[in-house]
Parts: sequence; C-alpha cells; structure tokens
Amino acid sequence: MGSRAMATSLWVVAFVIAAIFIGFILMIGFDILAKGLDKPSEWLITQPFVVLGRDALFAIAGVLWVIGTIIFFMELSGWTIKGWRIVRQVIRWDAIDVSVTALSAAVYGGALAATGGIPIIPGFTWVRPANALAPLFGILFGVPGALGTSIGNFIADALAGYLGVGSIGGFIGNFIIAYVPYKLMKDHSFRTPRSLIEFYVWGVLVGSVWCSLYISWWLDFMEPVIGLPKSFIWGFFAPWVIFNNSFITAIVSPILGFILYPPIKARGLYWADRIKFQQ
Amino acid sequence: MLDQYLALSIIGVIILVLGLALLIGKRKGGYVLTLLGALWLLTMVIYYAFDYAGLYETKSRLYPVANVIGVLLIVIGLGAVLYYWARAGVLRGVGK
Repeated sequence: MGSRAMATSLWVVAFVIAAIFIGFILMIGFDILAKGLDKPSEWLITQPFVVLGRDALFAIAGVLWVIGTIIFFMELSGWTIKGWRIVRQVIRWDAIDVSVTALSAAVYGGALAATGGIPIIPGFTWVRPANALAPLFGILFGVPGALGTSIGNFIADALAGYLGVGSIGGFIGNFIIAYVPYKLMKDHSFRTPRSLIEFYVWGVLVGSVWCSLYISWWLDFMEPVIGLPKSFIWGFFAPWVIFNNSFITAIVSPILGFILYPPIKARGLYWADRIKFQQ
Repeated sequence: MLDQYLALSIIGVIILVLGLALLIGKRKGGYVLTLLGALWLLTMVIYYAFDYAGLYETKSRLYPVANVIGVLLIVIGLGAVLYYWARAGVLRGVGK
C-alpha cells in the first residue's frame, strides 16, 4: 500500500472512531430524553453503576481519587511522571504562565456561568457548552491551563449556587479533565489521525470518567458535611457528569483544537515550548 | 462543626498569604499562588454577596445575574490578558 493510501485509510479509521464516540454519546443522550430526566435508574449510562454497586464504585473511585490528588500536588510542586519515571519539570510560572492560568480561569469560569441555566438543547438545561474548553486548556497550555480550569470551575460553582466543600472535589476533578489529555496524548495538534484518536480515548472517555468518579468519591466521603444521598451521587450525579462532559467535548473540542493550535503554537504559548524536563 | 464556607474562606486566606510570602521572598510560584488565593477569595466574595442578596433562593433570580457576571468575566479576563500579551509582545511571538 502506498503512503498516500495508508494516510487516507488512517484518516478513515480516525473518523470512524470519532463517529462511533459521537454516535454512542448521542444515543445516551436520546436514551436519557426518552426515559425522562426523573428516571436516572433506567438510563443506559447508569447501568454500569447499578451493576457495580456503591461499595465497589467507592473502592474504585477511591483509588482514582488518591492517584488524582497525588498527581495534582506533584505537578504543582514541580514534579511529573515521564516515561514511567518521576522527573523534575521546570514550569517558569512567570508572568506569561500566570496570565495563561488567569485567561483559562476567566474564560472557562465565565463561559460556564454565561451559559448556565440556558437550555442549549431542549430538555437539557445543564448541558454545559463550556466543558469543551477544559481538555483544550490542558492540551494547549499544560499545567497552567489545567490549573486555570480548576479555578474557573470553582468560580462557576459560586455563580451557580453549588459552592461548598464539594467544590474542592470539583477543583481537582476539573484539573484532571484538562490534565489527562495533556499528559497522555502524544500528538496535540488535532491534525493527524493519531491525534484525533488519542483525543477521543484520553480527552473524552478517560478524562470524563476519571473526573466524574473523582468528584463523586469526594461527595460520598464528605456526605456528613455536604448531605447528598449516596444513591443520588452514584445513581444520578456520576453518570450525568460523564455524559455532560463527554457530550460537548466529543463534538466541539476537536474543532476548537484544530483552530486554536496553530496560533497558540506560533506565539510560543504551547506548553511543550515552555516547559523543560530534567532527568 | 466549622461552617464549610468559613473553612473555604480560611483555605483561600492561607493560599493568598503563602503566595504573598513567596512573592515577597522572590520565590518561584509566588505569582501563581497569589493569583489562586485572590481568585479563591473572589469566589467566596461572590458566594457571600449572592447569599446576602438572596439570589440563591430561586433559579429565576440567580440566572440572569450569573449569566451577566459570566459574560463580564470572559470580557474582562480575556481583555486584560490579551492587553498584557499585546504589550509584552506575546501576540507577536515574543513568548517563545
């Protein structure tokens, strides 16, 4: 097979994988609409949660919570995992990095609040279009962008009336949504089949599930303070967060990433041009 | 038990003080911790202001206000950062 034919087939594979992801998420959305927002126990997306049960979910999510929390503090204190080793990373945290964090926080938090309560899709008041930005800020700006995403979500919680101790879980949970594709995608350009496939696996699937389980574990653990029933956390909140994050991310983020990558790279703001690693 | 909003406010103050201490000592991370502490406390101010104004009581009261603040946040945040980047030459690629 010639290289041109090979490239074409890789693109076909990438688009088929993207179409499967989007189709599956749309199917979940239609399933929720068909069964009704008031019947989460019947939703397709809730079934794995029903099968596993609260105790198994709490154990699995607990492991992800510990790993996520260690990664959060490790990354902010200048350490990272590279090639299965813990290495020192040099983030300058100069005026440009801090302005990247501020920009990510303002745009993400502002966009979440600006579209809050508006039924973008009939019947889906809580679909958050701004979710599309979270993985992008990580992919394009790295740790400064991921931290901005955390802060933005925290501000949006206050504007939506959800601020509380549970928001600490949301703080790190949103960091994870941005961090997972930043760290695990090898090609961030959105210009190759590999980049597209990696985005759907890490940015849409893994990032959304990890974020949801991270926040849900925290809400369950802090139940005496927060007061949310465990059945609500694992039977509605967790599957809903996965759907809500992956829905917009799967459809909008690759388009935005394709548009934004070149100007950000050209201006020296892309994370790989700013962060140095020491072995 | 300690009120959760007071606890969150105390965390914000600790982050801000730590950030300012690092900034004064010209240590790395001072800027970002100060920004984090300041935005954390801004969030608490928003919470207490909304709570005091009774905006959390009904969604119909909360949402027009929250939507407008969201738009302002984007415009001011994006505007301020782009203005700084334009002055610092980042938009011409000096950030490289």
